[in-house]
Amino acid sequence: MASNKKSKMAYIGKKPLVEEHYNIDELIKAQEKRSDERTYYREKDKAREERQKLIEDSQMVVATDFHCTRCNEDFKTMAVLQVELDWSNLTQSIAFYKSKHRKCGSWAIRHITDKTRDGFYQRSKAVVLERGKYHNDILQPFETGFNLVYGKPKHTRIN
Amino acid sequence: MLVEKVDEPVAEGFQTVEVQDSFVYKGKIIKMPSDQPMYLDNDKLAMGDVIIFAKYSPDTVEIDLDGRKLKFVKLSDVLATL
Repeated sequence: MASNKKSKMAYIGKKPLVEEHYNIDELIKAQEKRSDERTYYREKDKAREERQKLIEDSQMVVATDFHCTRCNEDFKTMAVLQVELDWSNLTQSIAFYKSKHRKCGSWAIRHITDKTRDGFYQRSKAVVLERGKYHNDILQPFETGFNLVYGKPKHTRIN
Repeated sequence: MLVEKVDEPVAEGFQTVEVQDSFVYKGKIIKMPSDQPMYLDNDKLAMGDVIIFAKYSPDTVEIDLDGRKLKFVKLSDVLATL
């Protein structure tokens, strides 16, 4: 009991934590930094492996949809897989299908890696139509047109 | 035009910020058409110029010349000169 009283008297106000000691704090920060770096490199390796797997899994010759930017129309044709070294990051490759539009002779491209940057999904009329087909199903209550499609919601008064 | 990859010299000291992202490539012009000059806005492009061009352009073609990986780039895909 006496020792407890002594320890209580030693600290006025908030008792300092072990983590607040500068030496311990440094150790914790160093450990956190190491842990973050390990996670960062592990995720980087994982992304690279996924990218490589995507390239390996894609077919060599495929009949796929393209969009011609010059004629502004969709067309379907055969294309061969092309893999190139990524100049902006030499540890990885980029892959795509490329084909020529027969009407105008301009090249069209479909991405295998970096699919989010594939302009086909923004430009293609078929994709827009497909998106519009299910537009009503994914309409949210806060979006314009919800009341028109599903009717005005009846608000109940809560007493 | 024909473009080769720019090899960055590895040097000690401060690291400079590159005007480059994953949308573009940086390359050095090594061959141009001799019959007509090529302009980017008002600047005339010359051999040895370092240019920034679109990475995923369908008009860019990679070729292998004497073991070197080079790219044919269309003038409309060139975004800037450095």
